[in-house]
Amino acid sequence: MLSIPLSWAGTLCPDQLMQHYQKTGASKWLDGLIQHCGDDLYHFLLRQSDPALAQDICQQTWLKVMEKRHSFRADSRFKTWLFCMARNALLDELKRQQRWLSSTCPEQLVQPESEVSQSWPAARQQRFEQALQRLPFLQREALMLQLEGFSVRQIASITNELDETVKSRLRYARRFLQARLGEHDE
Amino acid sequence: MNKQTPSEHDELQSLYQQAKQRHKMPTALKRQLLAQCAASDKQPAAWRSWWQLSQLVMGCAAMLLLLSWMQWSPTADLYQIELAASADYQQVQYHRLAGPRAVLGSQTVREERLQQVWQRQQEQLQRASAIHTRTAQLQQQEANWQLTICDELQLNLSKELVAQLQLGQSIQSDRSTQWVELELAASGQVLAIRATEQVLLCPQIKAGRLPIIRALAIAG
Repeated sequence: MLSIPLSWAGTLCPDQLMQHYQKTGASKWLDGLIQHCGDDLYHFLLRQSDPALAQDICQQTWLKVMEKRHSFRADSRFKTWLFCMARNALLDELKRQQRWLSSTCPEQLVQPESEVSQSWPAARQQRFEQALQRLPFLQREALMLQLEGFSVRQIASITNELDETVKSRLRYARRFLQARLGEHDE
Repeated sequence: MNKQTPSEHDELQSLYQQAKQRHKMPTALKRQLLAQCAASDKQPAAWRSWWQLSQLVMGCAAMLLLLSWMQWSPTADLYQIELAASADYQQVQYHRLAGPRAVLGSQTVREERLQQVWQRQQEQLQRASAIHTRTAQLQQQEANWQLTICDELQLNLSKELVAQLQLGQSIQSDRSTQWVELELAASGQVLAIRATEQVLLCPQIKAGRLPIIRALAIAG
């Protein structure tokens, strides 16, 4: 088998990295996957839970990638598979901790910085993050997945919902965010 | 879906990306995962070597089994019977000894092996209940033997088969013998040939004619 230099790993997309990792099991490919998708996944989990749980689920998910690399289907997108596993693990944990219902309500999990002496862009950034946190769990989830680059179909696949349900959640989420950001512009 | 201008979408995307920049995956977690990842990299190497070793062992075992099978199989084709068409006989059979396939070793080893297989096959055939005897006329006793049963059957035995039958003392006849009793297995193999006084009466013989002695060229 041809061995691909480590430096090439950085030029490959996650799907290609996963294909190499699936074939070889070499850590350099998993390393590349973590470099590509690690921050995205962690941020998604963090927004949906808290730092401790996000780290825990993040770790669990990457361990699952290692364990289940052979069950990954080459025709699917790695990031969709990754987020799907993470989302399922998060929901299971929230249900286990009986936090599922409370988590569906807005919760100030990521502490915003003080608005005092902030520049306009920084204040707008803060308002965005606050508004994002105030969104209901499922709407925030749909919106974040879309902002992560997933299509409506892929979001429906990750969340195990119908396309129409996803579209509806996205519509409400965007309206809410635009309203919150617009309020302060007036 | 929601009607959103490209600029609004771009702004949300930009705000989201900035938020992500501020909440990156903790370095310690990343380091821990990479360490686990590196550890998992070592495991497959060990696993791979174990797998390769087991494959080698299994390959060798399979080879030994195959050789063993080739050496020790009852070689159903040791005694071969080929059928041929003829206008003079209802059936023409060529009996020959194929020899055990791919028997390795020296000539002596091969001969010993051949004897073992032959002996086993003969025992198996003789254990079968459907052994029958037929009277036949021995028409040629050169290296190859030819026997006929009226116009019903012509049996051609190769010299190796004759030699093998003689070695096992399954042939009790001499050059002067004209009539023999054939001991045949249900599947047609000749188990023994014995000289007999009994004369085969074919329909033609009954009609007063002697059986025609056919001068046949038999492939050596």
